[in-house]
Amino acid sequence: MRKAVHYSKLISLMVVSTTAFIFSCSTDEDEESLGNWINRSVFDGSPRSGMSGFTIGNIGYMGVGYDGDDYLNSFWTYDIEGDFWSQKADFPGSARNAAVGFQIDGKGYIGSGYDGVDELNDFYTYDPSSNTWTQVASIESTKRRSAVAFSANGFGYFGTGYDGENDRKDFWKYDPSSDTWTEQVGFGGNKRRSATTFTINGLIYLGTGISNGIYLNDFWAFDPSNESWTKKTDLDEEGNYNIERSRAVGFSLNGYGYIACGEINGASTSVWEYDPATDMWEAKTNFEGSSRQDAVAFANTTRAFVGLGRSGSLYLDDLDEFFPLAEYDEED
Amino acid sequence: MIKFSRILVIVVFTICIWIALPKDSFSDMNHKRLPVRSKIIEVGQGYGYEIWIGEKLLVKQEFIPAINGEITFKTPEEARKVANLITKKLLERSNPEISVEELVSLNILTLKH
Repeated sequence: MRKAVHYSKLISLMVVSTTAFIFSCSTDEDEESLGNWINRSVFDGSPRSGMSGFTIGNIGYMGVGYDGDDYLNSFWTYDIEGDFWSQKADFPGSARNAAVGFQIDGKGYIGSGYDGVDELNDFYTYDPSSNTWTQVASIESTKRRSAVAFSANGFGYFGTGYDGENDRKDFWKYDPSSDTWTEQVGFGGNKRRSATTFTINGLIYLGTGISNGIYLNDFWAFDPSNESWTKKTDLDEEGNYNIERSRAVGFSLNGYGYIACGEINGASTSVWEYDPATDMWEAKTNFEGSSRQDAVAFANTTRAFVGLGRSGSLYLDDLDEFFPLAEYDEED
Repeated sequence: MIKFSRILVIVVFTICIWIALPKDSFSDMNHKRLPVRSKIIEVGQGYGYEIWIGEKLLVKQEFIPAINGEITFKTPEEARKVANLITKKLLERSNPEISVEELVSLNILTLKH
């Protein structure tokens, strides 16, 4: 009798474990997408979100942000080849988050944002060759946070965002040779905050973001040669698209664009790949770290990293490298 | 036979627990045990530091952090003081960055800098 009891226990345990094993396998197969993430570095003990940054060559630059207690003005570099961090000269403006970062011809720029009280309109440039910051022209007529910025053909472009009262849709162009901002017309999309851009072959793609609680589904391409905006296929065009979100990161790699992480009614780990040749999207392997929003992405022509950012009330501090063509491997 | 089946139950149970446990929890445990150490490096005529967590280089600091310019520490002792402060912060799981005020309090910068 005792023997029978033991055997039944044994069998039930085996059934449970086999079921669990089959279930985990089948889940993997159901969600099979190409792309793999490998954890590269731990920015240990320095959780921060809402940072701003840019990539120049093999160095990722990131700074400012919010750590849950304080707005920050420290500034760091991540060495993509060496896989280590260095603390650089402090950002000279007031500590802030939700600023924009971009680079023009090897010099970095960080500006706008939110200091905990007010939206901001001041901008600063960083020279990597001398590790020095210098203030440049502010956008006098408007302060804002959660805007987007990018560069093309030696100019900076800044637009959308939240000015403290309203979401915005206007764009501004920065000319570093004259240190001036001028307003640009022609963006036909909706006003929004916390949108995302990426650049492929000289064209800038802009999408996602949120306004009045609505996640926006329009998607745009900006051609800097004639400074025109073209509407592309909506982000909810296909039934299986799940791209709309805010506070995502955007980057490009090998001729494809990526929108990763962010939040849609909660933090997300999903990653979508945009093919400019077909104007279509494909789901990639989800970010393997915890779900996060307000993260940072570093990408040069050959490698891309996503990390930091926050998920709910939990701040995260790691950086993962994305290999879009690799098979998913849960062991790395 | 009873003993054999008991052993089998224990083995299968252990395997089940192993499968059920999230793999991350093991690396997290290892991570928390990893020692933080610093190393002083020579940079031209001056000095900098590296911060290592186990076998992983986390921070390589060739120049004094937080201030404009590429200025090395004048002495190994200066670099050591800052590296020790960062090590302490990492062990306390706090932000491993250095402020201008801390550099002043460690007598590496003077207030007018």
